[in-house]
Amino acid sequence: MTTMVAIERRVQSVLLTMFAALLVAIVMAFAFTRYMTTTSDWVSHTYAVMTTIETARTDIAQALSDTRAYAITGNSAFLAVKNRKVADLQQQLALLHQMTSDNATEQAHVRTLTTLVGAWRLRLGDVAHARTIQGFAAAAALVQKRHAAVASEAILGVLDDMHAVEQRLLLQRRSEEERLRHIVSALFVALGGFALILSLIVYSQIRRRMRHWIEAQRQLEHLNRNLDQKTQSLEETVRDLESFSYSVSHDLRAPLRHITGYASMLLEDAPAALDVESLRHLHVIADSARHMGALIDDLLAFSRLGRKSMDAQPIDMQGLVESVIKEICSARNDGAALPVHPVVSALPPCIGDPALIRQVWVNLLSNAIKYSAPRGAEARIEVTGEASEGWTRYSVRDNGVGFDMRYADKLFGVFQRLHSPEQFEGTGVGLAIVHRVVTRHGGRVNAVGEPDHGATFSFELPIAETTS
Amino acid sequence: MNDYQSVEILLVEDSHADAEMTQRTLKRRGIVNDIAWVRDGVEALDYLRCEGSFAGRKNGNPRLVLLDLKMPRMDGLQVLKAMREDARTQWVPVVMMTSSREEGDLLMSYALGVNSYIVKPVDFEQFADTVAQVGMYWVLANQTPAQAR
Repeated sequence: MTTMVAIERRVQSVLLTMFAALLVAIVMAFAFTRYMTTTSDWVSHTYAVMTTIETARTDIAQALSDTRAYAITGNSAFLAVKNRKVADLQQQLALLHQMTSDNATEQAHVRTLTTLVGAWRLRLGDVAHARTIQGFAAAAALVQKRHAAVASEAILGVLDDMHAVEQRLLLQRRSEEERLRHIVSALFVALGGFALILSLIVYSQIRRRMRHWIEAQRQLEHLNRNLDQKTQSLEETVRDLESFSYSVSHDLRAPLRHITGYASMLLEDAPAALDVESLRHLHVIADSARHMGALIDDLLAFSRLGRKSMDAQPIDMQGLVESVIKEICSARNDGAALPVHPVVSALPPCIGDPALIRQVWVNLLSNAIKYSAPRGAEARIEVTGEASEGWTRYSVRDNGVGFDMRYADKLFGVFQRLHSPEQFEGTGVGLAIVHRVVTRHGGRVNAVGEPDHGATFSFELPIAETTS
Repeated sequence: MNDYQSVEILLVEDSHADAEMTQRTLKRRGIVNDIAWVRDGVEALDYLRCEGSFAGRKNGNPRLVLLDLKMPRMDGLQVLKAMREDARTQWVPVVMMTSSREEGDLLMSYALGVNSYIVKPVDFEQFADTVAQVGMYWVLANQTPAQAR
């Protein structure tokens, strides 16, 4: 049992460690995934910045080319397009300023761009103005001098720088993203491994338990089979005993009757022919046969007690004891009154088999009367009872011949007697029956005595459930 | 006594000693003189049906059958059963005289319609008194219907 508990504890601690590790792995995987998402966001952001830079580049090229188209054609529609592109570019610059707020280098670039775009716008304005006011030749001269183109190239140069910075960032962020992807993959592999190991451990434990359980089950079945066999052989033994006691009751009684019968017939027919000694011998033969008959009857009664089924019900002990005393009085052979009448105090009721408990009282009271008879008029018998803490206790106390406590353990054995048949007749089964009945009720018997100073026989019965 | 009755008591008893003690008691105490003794169930039925070695006997039932329980060949319960199933012996009083006080034997006897069940006392005085009482009651005091005779 203790080893089972130890195994249980070990399995529990292993499982707990495993679950903790699994939990940590899950949390880590979650955190890394979150981080990876952020990194991916940054990569997208960098792409967005680069797209904006490209748009700005296109805007510059278009504004420049529209300004040239106006210089050539003088068509004011081109001028409107140029102005829209310039406005667009300024919008892109604002966007870039906002997007690169976390990056000092790019912010510096944006500031430079703002200045350059300001100058460039003025130069574009100069060309347009020259065309509007002075005509094609003046504008063509400015174009020829690359008045606006130089400013454009300066802007494009800065945009190239910005693009290069973003390109580097993109590379960094993508490699970071790649690194995270690897870590997360490794984590998930580890997680899977953990789960697998955990399942294996749990599986092996369950298998072991199952094997233990199956083994225990097998042993139990084995024990049950053994028990069945033993029960069967016990039942056979009981049947044998029953048939034995049947034949004892029938077969042993008959020859005894014949012994007493023929002894009596002899006594009837030929008393004159026999001398005193022979007559005494005949009486001894008859008495011995009678005693053996009593022994057989008592032994059979005792063995029947073991087989009789118990019929537990509430018993009015007071009434029962009084009726037993009345019965003992009326059953006396000589018809004489009892030499001593037992004094019965208030007895608590009990639960038991009335017929069996009655036999207990018959035996105890008969004994008390028998063994206190030598006291004559001085004889006293008291019957008392009390209920306490789940038990009811009954006692029969007499002031008779008593017994030596050294032999107390023999009192309740079958055929155990502390007196010779000459002193007191009896078979030595009465107290054995008392013991067996009380024990079958789940109770206890007790005897206290002192030679020539009486004896007290008590029995206790449980108040609650009686067992057979 | 009655002309149509051959005997007053049919004693069915395998034990010679018990039979002798019973007969002696009934005769000595002047209750019944006319006792037929058979040693087992087969002889008892032969006697009652006037068959076998009793083919020549005078017809008529005894006033009482004293039946032992345990006997060779056919036991007391079988005899009782056969008697109760036969219209001729259906009403003849049967008293079991046995050493067995087993509840099963008692139940079976009463189920088969025994009139009385006596456990033979071990003590001879008591045995003799009991036998005398049974004889006195069933042969002298008890009345049986005409069909029983």
